[in-house]
Amino acid sequence: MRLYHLADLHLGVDPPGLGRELYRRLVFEKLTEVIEEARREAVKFIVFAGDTFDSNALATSTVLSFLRLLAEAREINFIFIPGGGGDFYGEVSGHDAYGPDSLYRRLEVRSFWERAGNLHLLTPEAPSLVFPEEKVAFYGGFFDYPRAALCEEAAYHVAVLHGAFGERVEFGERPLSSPQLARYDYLALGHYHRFRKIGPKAAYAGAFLQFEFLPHQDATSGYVVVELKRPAPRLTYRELADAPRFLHLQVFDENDLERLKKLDFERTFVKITAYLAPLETPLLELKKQLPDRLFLAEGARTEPENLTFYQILERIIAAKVPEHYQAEVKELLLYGLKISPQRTKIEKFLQDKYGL
Amino acid sequence: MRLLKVAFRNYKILEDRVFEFAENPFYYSAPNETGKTTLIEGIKDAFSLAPARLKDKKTAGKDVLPVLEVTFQIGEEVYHLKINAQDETVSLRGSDGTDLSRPAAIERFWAQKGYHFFPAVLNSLLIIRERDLTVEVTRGLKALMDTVLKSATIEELKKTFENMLIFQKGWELRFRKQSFGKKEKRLREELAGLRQELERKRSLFEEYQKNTARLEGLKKALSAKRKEREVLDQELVWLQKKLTYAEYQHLLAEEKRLQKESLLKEKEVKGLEAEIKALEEASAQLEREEEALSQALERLKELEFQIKEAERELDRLAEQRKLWQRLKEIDERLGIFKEIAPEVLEQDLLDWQTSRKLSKDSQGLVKVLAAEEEVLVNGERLGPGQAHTFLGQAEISYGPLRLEVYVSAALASAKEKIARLEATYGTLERLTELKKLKRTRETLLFSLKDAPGPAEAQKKTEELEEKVKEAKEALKGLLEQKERRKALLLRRKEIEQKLARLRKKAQEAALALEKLRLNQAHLAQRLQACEKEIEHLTLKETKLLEAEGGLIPEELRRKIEEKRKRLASLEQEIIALEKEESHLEGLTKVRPDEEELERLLARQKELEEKLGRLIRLADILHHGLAVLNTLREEINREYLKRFEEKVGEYFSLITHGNYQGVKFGAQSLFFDGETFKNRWEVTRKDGKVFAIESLSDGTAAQLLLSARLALIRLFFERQAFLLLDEPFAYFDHQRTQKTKALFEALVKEGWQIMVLSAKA
Repeated sequence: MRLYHLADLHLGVDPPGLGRELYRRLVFEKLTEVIEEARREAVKFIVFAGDTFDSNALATSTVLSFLRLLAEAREINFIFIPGGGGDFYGEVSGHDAYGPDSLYRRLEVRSFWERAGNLHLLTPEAPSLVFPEEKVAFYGGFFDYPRAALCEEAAYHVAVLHGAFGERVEFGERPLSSPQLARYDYLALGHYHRFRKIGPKAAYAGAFLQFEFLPHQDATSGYVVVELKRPAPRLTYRELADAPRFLHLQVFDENDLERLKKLDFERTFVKITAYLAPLETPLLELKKQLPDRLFLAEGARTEPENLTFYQILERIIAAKVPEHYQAEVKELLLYGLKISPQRTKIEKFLQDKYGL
Repeated sequence: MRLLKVAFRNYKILEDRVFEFAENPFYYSAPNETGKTTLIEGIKDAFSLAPARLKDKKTAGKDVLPVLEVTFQIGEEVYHLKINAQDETVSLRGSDGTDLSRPAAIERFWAQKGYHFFPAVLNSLLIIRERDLTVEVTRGLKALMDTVLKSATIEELKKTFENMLIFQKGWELRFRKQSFGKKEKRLREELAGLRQELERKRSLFEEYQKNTARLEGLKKALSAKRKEREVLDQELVWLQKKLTYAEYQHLLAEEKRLQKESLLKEKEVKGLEAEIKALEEASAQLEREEEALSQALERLKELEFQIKEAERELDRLAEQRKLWQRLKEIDERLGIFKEIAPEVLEQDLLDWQTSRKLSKDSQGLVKVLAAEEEVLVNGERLGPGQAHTFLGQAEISYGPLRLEVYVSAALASAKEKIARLEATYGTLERLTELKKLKRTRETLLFSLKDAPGPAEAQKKTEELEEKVKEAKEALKGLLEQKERRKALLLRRKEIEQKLARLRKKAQEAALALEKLRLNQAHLAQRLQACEKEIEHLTLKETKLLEAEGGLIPEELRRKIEEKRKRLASLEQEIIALEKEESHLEGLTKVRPDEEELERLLARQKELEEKLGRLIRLADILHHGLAVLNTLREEINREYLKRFEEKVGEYFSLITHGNYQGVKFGAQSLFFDGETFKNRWEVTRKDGKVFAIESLSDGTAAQLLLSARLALIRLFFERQAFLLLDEPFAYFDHQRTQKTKALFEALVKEGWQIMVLSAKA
């Protein structure tokens, strides 16, 4: 039994340099390719593990055009769970969280959902789903472990969870304890934006298409192909070709500069989070040639005498700050340390950077 | 920065001297008191940018205050720095066009070039005097170190972040009002308002959509119902035609039937009339017969009456005879007492009863007082002293004496009376019976006082019986006539009854006939009307109807009724639907502005994203704070570590590997002079560890020199110049050479080394 595990599409997001509309088109394009691949491989199930939509305030037309694309692939069942940024669930409608104003509750969306026979949504009210013919069942976990009892008629049990799970308790992650792992044949996770295996049976698919700057090695777009079998499934991460990449890099020497120049800027967006001051001129020159592709973070300019300081700062940030905040914390601290104690300037910087 | 030339005028013993520094390293040997230290001092004073400081340093005997000029190079540019104590001015001019004349501007210029806090750095680090290798992290050096360690900066940034945030409920950090807090509050308020508005608009929109869907469905339903109505109308028209045709056929048949029936009815009526007439005649005949018999039967009544009377008389006579017989019997019983007056009998009876009572109630006593012979009292033997009680009288026998003793004289006379009565009547009972019989006799005599005697009665009886017999014979005949009359009457009754029935029947038949004729008339009218309607049928229709056959009007009427009912119901439904359609059309007349909805959604998204970013910012600041909290210590620790490593490297080099490592016993790089001087430990190549105070002066000086150089390397990445005053005072040749090699290395890195020594 094979299925595809996708997550974190964040449809509606506005990636820097790429823009909302182009990103949306790319998602649709890549999704169409994935569906074609699924057809060729006779895959019956594609799982979306949350954050499919970037916001609950997304235009209905966008939501429906996405659903139409999936509904046309009638032979494939698409299983969704709502997502939500776990940090601010309940304060704002985090991404596509299943709050009172969830887009999943809109009349037009519900009507379409009900008419299409191959779209399935796991919610706290209906947390499990069984396909008797294929003998597979899906269970939703909403920032927590699934609570529904296992369906007896299923031979395979797949949990779909959205949230922070893992071993880093200091970052608020919930551990995937053995009983949780033992119950299911696979745990399809969503929330983190890079592919990561948590044990032999659980994995984060990572963002389907990258849309934010991540460290180089993590900036891949793709999904997980899951072969359900016992004792453990076979997981294959399938990277999407020609997907945009958002990298953040440091340029501390000529080698770094050369590597930067050799990148394929057709689909690559680079943010330089730190560079040595002497390399500023060639960098600025390169930026002039690639104004929409190359970005320099505030406070990225590092004087040679501050290199040690920078390296120490980076080490502390890696140890103390959750991954998805690291780049921003670094940028803020570097800039703040550069212009401190000018509080108004820092506030202005933050207002501009966060669009406040 | 590289010094090219320093010119002194009227500065201490350097009245008019120019020093040029072509080589690097620059070794200047001169005897004592030739101005080596003054040179260093002058360079310090020049870079202090304080002309006032020079006032006390004019050359002895000179009136004109000192002027110092320093020519230095940074990169490709050459700069002239002039400190003029005469007009207390400073100036900096450069080949790049730099033209500054204020100390603050010049310091800024140096900072821009990377030479932060240069005067302090020069004093603290770049001028190394053998006599005083100590370094104290004073304000200027502290400021320099801070640009690298950023301790103050970190603290300030921490404070900035803390001023933006406030702890709430434990871990949660949120913005203070005066920073982003206000913005957050405004955003939340706007979002809340927007959500409400969106909710409202969405409800309206969903309502509109529901109504539109309903309207659509309703229109379909309405259209279907209208079609159904149309079909029904057509069916009704056809059914009506069918009915008309069927009715016509039916009417025709009915007409025939009515005609037939009418004829039959006429016949019936006629028949009945004839029958009635016959019966009436028969009845009249019977009436006549009965009349004749009635007269004859008048006599019957009379006869019966007579017989009754006679019989009544006979009964009375019989009764009388009975009484006479009874009387006779009584007389026989009375016998001789028949004629005695009843009063006598009564009196006698009374006397007798009285006497008896008297006897019963009179009690006497005889007592024998003495007797020689037996005394018998009423047959009882009494001895002397014995007594005998008796009622009425007692018979006493004593010997030949016989006595009859009475209780009283009245009793004796009563006894006589009774004896007499007994003789007459026998017993009292007999007397009583006689009395009764007498009474009865008297009664009977009274009853029979007017009655004929027994013989007469008998005679009358016989006469009457004869009469009765004759009358009964006559009666018998009459009774037969009576029976006949009865039969006649019965027959007549029957006939009358039959007549009544027949008349009724005839009446009914006549009515029926009339009705039939009326029906025929109506039918004719209906037929006429039908024919008019039939005329409207087309030939085709007529043929179809004819082909169909078996059309039953009732059934057709029933179907028409059903269809009409359905049509009526359908009309109602259509009306209701049209009403609802109108209502829904009203509701869906104005389409909600979807664009407005989309705009609101977009705005909501914008606000949520903004709020999300704000909240994210709070988290970023929080994490930033967490980093900052440990950053200072980490940086310090790292630089301390690097400082030790660098010092160890230089010290090992200078001592030709004799010492491999050093340890600096300070927790922070912001140390004082004493700490710098004393808190060292070195590890010799054999592994032994020595504190600095246990080292020789020379080795200690080399250690401190290594430390000074390490500090410079760590905190002064910008290459400048080092002024060393008698650095090799304590060095042996080897260590001197090693140190010189170190200087060469520094020179290769871009440093300018100037060594001033009294020795060659």
